[in-house]
Amino acid sequence: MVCGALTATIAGITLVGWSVDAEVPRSGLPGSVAMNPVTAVSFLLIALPLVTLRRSGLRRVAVAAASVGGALGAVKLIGLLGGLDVGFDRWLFPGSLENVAGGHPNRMAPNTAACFAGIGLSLALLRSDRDHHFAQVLALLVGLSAFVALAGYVYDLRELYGVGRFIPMAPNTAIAFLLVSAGAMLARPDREPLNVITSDGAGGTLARRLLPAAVFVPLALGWLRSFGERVGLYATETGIGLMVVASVVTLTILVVWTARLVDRGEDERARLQREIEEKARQLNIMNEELESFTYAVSHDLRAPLRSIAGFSQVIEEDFADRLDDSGRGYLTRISDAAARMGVLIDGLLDLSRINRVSLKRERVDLSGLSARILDDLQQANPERSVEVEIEPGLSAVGDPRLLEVALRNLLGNAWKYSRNETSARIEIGSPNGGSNLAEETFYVRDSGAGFDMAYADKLFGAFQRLHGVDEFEGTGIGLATVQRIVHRHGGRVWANGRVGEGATFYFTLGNNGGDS
Amino acid sequence: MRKEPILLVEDNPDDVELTRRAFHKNKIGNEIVVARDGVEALDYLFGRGQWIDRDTRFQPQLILLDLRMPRLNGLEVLERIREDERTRRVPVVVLTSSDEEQDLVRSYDIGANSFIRKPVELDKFIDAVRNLGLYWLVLNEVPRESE
Repeated sequence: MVCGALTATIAGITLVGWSVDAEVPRSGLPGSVAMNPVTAVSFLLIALPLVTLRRSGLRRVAVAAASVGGALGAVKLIGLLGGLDVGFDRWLFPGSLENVAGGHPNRMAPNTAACFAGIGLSLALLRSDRDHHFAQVLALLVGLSAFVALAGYVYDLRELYGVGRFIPMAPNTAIAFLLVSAGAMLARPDREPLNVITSDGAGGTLARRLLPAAVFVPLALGWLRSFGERVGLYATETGIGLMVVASVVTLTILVVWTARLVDRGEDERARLQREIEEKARQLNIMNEELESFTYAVSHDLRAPLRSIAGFSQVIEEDFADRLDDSGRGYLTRISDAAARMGVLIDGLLDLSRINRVSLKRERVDLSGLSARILDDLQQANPERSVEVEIEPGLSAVGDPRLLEVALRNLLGNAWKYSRNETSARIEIGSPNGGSNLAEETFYVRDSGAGFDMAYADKLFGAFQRLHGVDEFEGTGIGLATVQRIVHRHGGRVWANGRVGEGATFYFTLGNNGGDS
Repeated sequence: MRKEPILLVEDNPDDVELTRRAFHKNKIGNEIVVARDGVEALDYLFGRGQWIDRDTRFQPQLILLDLRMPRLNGLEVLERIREDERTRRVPVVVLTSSDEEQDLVRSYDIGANSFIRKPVELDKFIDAVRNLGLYWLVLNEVPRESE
């Protein structure tokens, strides 16, 4: 936007210069060719898209303005190439055009025309997602041409800013093109090619510091050399030699300075890295301690549990005649409680084991696995008739043992919670159908008791249950186990349900069954 | 055929009691010798300490070995058993509450014949012992002792 504004200002000053017949405003450098008034108008047109870049509403206007500016340049260029005298550059201030310094009557220069054609196209395409890269390359080319012209003025080399016998590009025109080109390049700072410079990383910082030097140091040294030679300080060869030496020295200093900068950045990075590693190490140790604690506790709890369950049974068997019904009933409760505790401990052990084993990565046939699990369930409960639908061809990459545990939990739940339905139905499938997608989703659906979505966030907590033990037995570890398995694969698990209408559990397994 | 005793190496007295009961329920008649830890077990097998007068030409028909015990743990006992010529071929069933994969693997590596995890429920335990007895004491063949 700033570039656009500045360009417009230059154009405006030029036009003012023409109207009051003042030389400096209309050519930038005294003694140089002046910017043609129509060129100035074209610049105004070109500046419009830049100034309005951020306002999406004016896009069509901007594109139209850029196209007109570009067209003007293209027409003039074609005319010059074809030998035609396309005269619209004489429409403004026709009288003053003929009496100017520099020898030529003032016209739009061919290189100026070419640049307008290029930059017009570039600005017209700038907002398009598809073509903006091309647009910026064009802008870069135009900027380079303008830079060459400007360098020509700095070194007083006419070949750089004028083509053949045609009128050369004016210095303020060159500056204006540079501004427009810069504006076009800055239009998309977060994408190629500018993001190399604007990025936050080491590369961006380096680029931002070195780029000005890369541009100005050679320019300055070159100018110094030619200035010294012109003033008579030294001959051409000496001048070149001096410039070479100066270049070497400057570049070496730059390299050393840059190296120091990079080193400092790397030191900082290494320090942060070490900090992270230290924290990770501590976290790992804590985790391991927690796991071995969980393991030891679960393990050591099983022995007394065996005693409780075992001797209750012994009493039941050996002293049955000396016990009445309530006595035997109490003993049964003790045994049942012990059995439940055993399942809980086993569940805890399983849960802790999931984090300890190393993850294998294989392609697992989930359809086949589900079929086997449902088969087992049917065999264990032959009296139940459940409608089963398994989508064929379901497969995923992951650890086969853990995936089996997860599916056993999910399908086992589906089986358990649809127990009270007369026509129970269990489905397993994939909503986006087919394998080989980046993150494939699977679901297990049952037509059973369902759950209240209000408590959905408690579903996967360890020991959290949404039903009482008398409704459905269970320890509340199953879904926690599923979640841990899914998380280890880099995936997510969630569920939808309705009381009395069943539940659907969805899970993904991340990309390539990764390990987190 | 001479019925040799079963050596039960177990430190938990409750488990000893329940194991005896399980064998009794299954009408397995072998005498059950109990060693409370690894040291006692090796004393028995090699005729040392309190068992100094035992005739070590006769070895148990079956050794039931727990893994987690004080002093010498089960795996070390198993190593010694498999190292000695007198006891190398005695069937050893590891009967333990551990479900650690590495215990399983190490046991088989050192030469256990079988690995059984003690269930919590007594019924299941009795079943396990019955199957144990049926297999290791009746069905399974061992080399004849060279007298």
